[in-house]
Amino acid sequence: MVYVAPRIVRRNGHLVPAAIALFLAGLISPLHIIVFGLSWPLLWVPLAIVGLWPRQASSLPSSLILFVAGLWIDWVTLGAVGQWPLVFVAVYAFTRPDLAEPGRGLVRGLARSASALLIGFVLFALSGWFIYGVWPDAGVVAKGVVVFVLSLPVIILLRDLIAGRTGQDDF
Amino acid sequence: MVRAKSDRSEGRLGLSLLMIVALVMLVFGRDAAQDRRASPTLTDDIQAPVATVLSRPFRAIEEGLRSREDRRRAHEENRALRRELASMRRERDRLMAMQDRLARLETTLSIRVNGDIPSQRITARVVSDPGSPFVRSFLLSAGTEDGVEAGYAVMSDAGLVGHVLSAGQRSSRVLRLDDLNSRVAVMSVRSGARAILVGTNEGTPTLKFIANSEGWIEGDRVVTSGDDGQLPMGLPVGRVIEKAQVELGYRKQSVDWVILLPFEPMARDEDVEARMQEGLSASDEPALTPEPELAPAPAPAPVSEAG
Repeated sequence: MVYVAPRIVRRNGHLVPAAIALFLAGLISPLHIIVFGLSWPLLWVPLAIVGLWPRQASSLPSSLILFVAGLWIDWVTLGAVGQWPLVFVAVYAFTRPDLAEPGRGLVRGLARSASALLIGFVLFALSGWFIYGVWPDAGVVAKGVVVFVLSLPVIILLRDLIAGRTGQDDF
Repeated sequence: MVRAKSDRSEGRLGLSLLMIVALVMLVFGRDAAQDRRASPTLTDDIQAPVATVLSRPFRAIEEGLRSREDRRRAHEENRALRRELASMRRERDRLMAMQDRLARLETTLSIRVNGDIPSQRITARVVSDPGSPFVRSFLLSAGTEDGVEAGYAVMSDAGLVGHVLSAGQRSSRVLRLDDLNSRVAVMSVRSGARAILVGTNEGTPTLKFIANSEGWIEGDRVVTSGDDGQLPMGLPVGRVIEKAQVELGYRKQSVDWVILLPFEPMARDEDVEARMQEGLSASDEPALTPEPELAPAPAPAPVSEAG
């Protein structure tokens, strides 16, 4: 008798809601919203979605979607072409959700997002310095991080609810 | 285990390739990105309404919190104002009691208060400044029709300008303090020392007839003393500068609007002259001849008589 280990079934259908969310987040990423007299940039919201990328999907289609979404955000934000694709693909390469252990919940999602934020911020700052010769404004970045962190629980909760309802854990 | 390894290697190649492509795009698009950064963004007009819509829920929360904060603050302010009102009522009662007491004392001592600055005001505009080498005066747009009479003090917002020399029906002429013919009884606010401010046709009138020379030092604030009975007491005049000269307050800025203070003089010039004539005829003593500089101005003599 041969023991056969359970094989992970990869379904690229998981990528559809994530890709839509990423493209929509890209649409609002150049915006700033004014709350309590301060301007809060939505620049890092797409990165939060990348940090919570579906686990049960093949890496190649995921990478391609992230690359194209990065180009889309570069175009929407009038940024340097290639900057966001580099950030997204590098974040994915580091976190590799397709290889991660299964599991869902707030703590796991937060851990993945924190590493995504860290890598994303370092790459974004370095690439920005390479292009423009200046470091990003610390205040704007800090406020962007706050928006990132505040948007995480909402994204995780929504994804978790959908996963629990459909029975497809994609974290 | 084998499957995981193959997954890892499968993704690694694709990811590496995409990262290299992204880097190449970044390097080659560097100059274009710098140009784009310097140019104005065309998407602002599109972004603005979207940002407004996105901000709406946050604005609603913000306004809700603010209105709650305002209500809380209003409650606190209301309490503070009630406390202050109670305190002010006590203070008002105390002041009214003091006022009554003062009035009783004044009645008991038969004090005639006549040095206070009148509360009534006539406002007029300086329509002309007919300055000449010999005369320093103003022409005002108010006359007897407006209640102006000769002798009224004329103030600007920076201090005493002079007094009304003559009042026509719709205009009046003001003799300024720096005119050669101007004489005004003044005192130092600091020491209470008295003197007569004599115009010199220059910017700075001089203090004459100084009773107490130690009472005047540079920087002293000068106000009318009311001793001449012609002007109310306490009108700001200026500041003492070197050599008993006074820098007039009203000259610090251009005079446009002025305020006239209706004031009943203690004694008119003709009354003073009549009394002096009576005194001369009643006694054989030699008559008091006023000092030449003091001749045009009301003499301090009536003050001592009235007082």
